[in-house]
Amino acid sequence: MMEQADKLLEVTDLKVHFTLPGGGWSRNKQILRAVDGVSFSVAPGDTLGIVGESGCGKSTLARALLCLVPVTSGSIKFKGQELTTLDDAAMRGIRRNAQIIFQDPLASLDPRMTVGNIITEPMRALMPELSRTQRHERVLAMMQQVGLLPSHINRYAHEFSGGQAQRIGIARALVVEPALVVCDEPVSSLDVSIKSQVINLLQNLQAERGLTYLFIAHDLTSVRHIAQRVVVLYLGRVMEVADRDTIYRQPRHPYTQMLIAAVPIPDPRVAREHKVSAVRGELPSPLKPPSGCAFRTRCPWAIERCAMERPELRVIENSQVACHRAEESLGSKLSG
Amino acid sequence: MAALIRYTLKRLLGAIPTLLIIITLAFFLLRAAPGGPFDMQRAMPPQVKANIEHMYHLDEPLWQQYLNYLDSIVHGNFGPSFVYRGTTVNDLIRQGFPVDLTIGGLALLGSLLFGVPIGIIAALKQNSAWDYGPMATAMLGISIPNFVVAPLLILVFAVQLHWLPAGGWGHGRLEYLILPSISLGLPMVAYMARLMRASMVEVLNSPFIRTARAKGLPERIVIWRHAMRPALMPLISFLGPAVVGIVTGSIVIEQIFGIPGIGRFFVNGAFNRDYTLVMGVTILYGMLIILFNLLADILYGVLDPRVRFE
Repeated sequence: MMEQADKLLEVTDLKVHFTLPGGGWSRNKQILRAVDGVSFSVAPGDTLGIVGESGCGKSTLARALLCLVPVTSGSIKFKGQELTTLDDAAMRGIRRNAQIIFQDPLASLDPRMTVGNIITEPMRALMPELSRTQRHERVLAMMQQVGLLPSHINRYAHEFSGGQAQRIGIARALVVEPALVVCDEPVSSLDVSIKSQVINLLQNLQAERGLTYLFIAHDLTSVRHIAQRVVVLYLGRVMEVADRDTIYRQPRHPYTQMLIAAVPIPDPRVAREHKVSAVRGELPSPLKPPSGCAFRTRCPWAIERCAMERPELRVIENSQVACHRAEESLGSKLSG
Repeated sequence: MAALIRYTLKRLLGAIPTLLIIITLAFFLLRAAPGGPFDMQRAMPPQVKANIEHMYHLDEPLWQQYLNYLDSIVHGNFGPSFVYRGTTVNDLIRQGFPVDLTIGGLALLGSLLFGVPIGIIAALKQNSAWDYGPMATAMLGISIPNFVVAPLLILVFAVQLHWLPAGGWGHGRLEYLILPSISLGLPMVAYMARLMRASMVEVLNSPFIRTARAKGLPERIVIWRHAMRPALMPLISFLGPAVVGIVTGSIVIEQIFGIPGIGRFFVNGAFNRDYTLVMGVTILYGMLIILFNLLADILYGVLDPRVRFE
């Protein structure tokens, strides 16, 4: 690989499979391959964007990285330490350094707790060296940093709007001063006006604290502002990995090209010149993924080989692409 | 706190019309039933019957009797029993109700003590033997009526093993309480275990439990601090109906074990057209149910800050 050697997080061939009971009386269990052989790495201080449609395994991946769902196989190395083999107690030690911000901010907060208790609780679990007053001071400082008022401390989570609830969620995640923060679609349930505020907040916090982000999103637009590198995920597999500028200027995988085409363009004249249409059709069931390349059923350039052989991730110039026809630059002559 | 007191008072005031409706319906329905408290198998001389009915004011117009009855209830007087001569309904309730309270309370306590932990363990060990075993047994417990369970218990623990008395009250000594309480509480244990399992499974899958785990809390704290309270909510709303189940269930249990509780008076009173006795017990049951539903609602608010007392 091309990145520098010191990785904060290194994921190799990660698989998360769920066994589902067969329908009715059938004893045949079905296997849902939510994450199917994903590899990537993140350097300290960087932001890695992970993009894909709903149902592509992004959230499962996010949770698996922090061992919140059981990992089927593969390796997750955080600061060189293997996480998949850790027991619960050892994993708790890791949580001080690796935190997660969830998608649905309101549902992710215990409605029976006050804001103060929500933010204090991780410190009580992970930083027992702090005294009660130290914890209180840190809660107030943290609240101020995420833009909450000190008077909010005794209010209950359900009294807040989605944007404020996500600020509480961010404070809760950052109060233990983690190095890595997995952001699982932190803004997708928020209003457009609130979205940019929260993204700006996340960027400011990253600059102040030197955080490493894993930023998960379902569209390429929100990632564009925050990520240095982007991983494109489809049906639990990596389709393309590249630097932000490369992936937007020269997307090599047909799926990436279509995701970019799906972004609405404000200028209709520019829009008309686009050759690639947005993604057609429905996502195939992850229970029965297509043979060979997972994307071939929706790919306009699919050939026989795509059904026979699963394309591996290959390096082409500055990108890594999993497509048999990546060199042919089929739809990549996009404006932009 | 002030809101809570205001809410309780409001609910208690609101209970008055409910009770009035219960009283009115029960009063007129009882009177609409054929026969009366002094109809014997052998016909009484008409003059004697008229004298008796005059003594109990049964010869007055119905609305007059109704108003008189309301007046005496307001003064806490349920009137004389028509069948148990020389005793008032207040006396009968005072004798019988503590018996029911003891057995019912024990049954409720026991079912909470066993049902809740069984349900929680089943939810935590979902789809294992710890789940399937107790839940299948619970289904049996719900399906088998207590008039089957009680004689079986007597057969095993009293007749075969001689561990416990087969029946009677024994001035409320513990060994006499065990079998009736178990018979009464067993279906309740089963029901609570299933209820608790279902709600616990749901809560454990909710996003804020995932957050609690991501915070790095030990599983024990995740369950006790975050999952327990929301999981108890359905159980609390079941509390009101549970009291009804215990009250009506105790009528059968009292008969089987020969316990001098209030249920026996209730059944006999209904057969004998003992108007005042049936009315008294009906009002008591009504108040009990209203009280426990209020208690459940208050507990709801204590456990969930989103519930406002208004």
